Amino acid sequence: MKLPITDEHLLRYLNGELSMQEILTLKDQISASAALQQRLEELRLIQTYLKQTSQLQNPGFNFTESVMHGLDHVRIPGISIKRGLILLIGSLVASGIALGLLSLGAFDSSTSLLIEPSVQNKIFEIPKISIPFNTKVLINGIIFLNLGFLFILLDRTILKPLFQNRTVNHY
Amino acid sequence: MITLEEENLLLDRILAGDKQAYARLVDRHKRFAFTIAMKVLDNRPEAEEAAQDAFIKAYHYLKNFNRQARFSTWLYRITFNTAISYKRKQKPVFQSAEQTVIPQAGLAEQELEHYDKLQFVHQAMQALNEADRLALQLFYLNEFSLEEVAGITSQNVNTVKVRVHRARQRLAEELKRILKQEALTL
Repeated sequence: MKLPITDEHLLRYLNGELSMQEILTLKDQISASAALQQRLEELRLIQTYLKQTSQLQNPGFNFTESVMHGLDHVRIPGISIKRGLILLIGSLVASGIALGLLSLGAFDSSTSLLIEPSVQNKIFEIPKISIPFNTKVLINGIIFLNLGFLFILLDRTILKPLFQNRTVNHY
Repeated sequence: MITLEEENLLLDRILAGDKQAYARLVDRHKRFAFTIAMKVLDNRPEAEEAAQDAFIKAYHYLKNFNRQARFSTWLYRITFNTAISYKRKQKPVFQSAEQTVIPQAGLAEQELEHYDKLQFVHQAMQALNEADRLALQLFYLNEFSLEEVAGITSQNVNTVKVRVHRARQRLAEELKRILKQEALTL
């Protein structure tokens, strides 16, 4: 009984994956059908093309040296230039607002942090603890840290990639 | 051919800080990595950059490699993903069907006819969708197994099998259409 010949059969035949019995049956059917012969020729052409264009290709002469050179460069994953710029602008705006409020005297008053005992004792009184702190100093500290963060961000996301690109283009 | 044991020893040396051992691994895998990047990007300078980038990434993330798969499969997956991310940034470039990679200088008439036919296959390849074309090209690249292609492209083996099968079918259909069209124009 003749079974319908599919492309899969023909491909397996071209790949040498069929048994001797299957090959003989297939050959009989192919010789009797011009359409099958044409299809086999098309598939053979595809196999030839794919094998010819699938040869391994050689990269440039100093490929390994370039990779080894690249290993020494510090990589900062996760911060793209776009993200870095957004963070940079955000930090600048936050610092600007804090400096503006400082100059308006919003943090001039001195505050104290009051700590009350959680358990009341009738025999002797536990004193309330009050820690005075200056909000202005705290905000100044935050602005200072923010500026440090800004400098690092500027260096990592804009300056370093810019100078690295210049070096690469130079060579 | 490097054995799994030798590969593990090499990886241990690299993790201990021996950079020259990594140079050996780069030398060993660079042709494969570069060819994979070329299949994705179809642009030599970009493929070279992507492959180098992949090797650098692999070095920095080597301590995270769990050694359940072969180092090569892990590296080629990084290469494939790096090349795909380069591809997303790539500007579309028009490539005519005549710009095929098969050389034709000094061919006899019969060979020239065969070359012409291969040009038609190249044209048909361009009609495939990118994922199917890549699966097919990787499958034929040094005859990677379906499992290896699945490992490199981070896809299920059955998905790759379907893609390769479908790509070959579509390629055959497209080729038939082109040949018919050519016959009509003669």
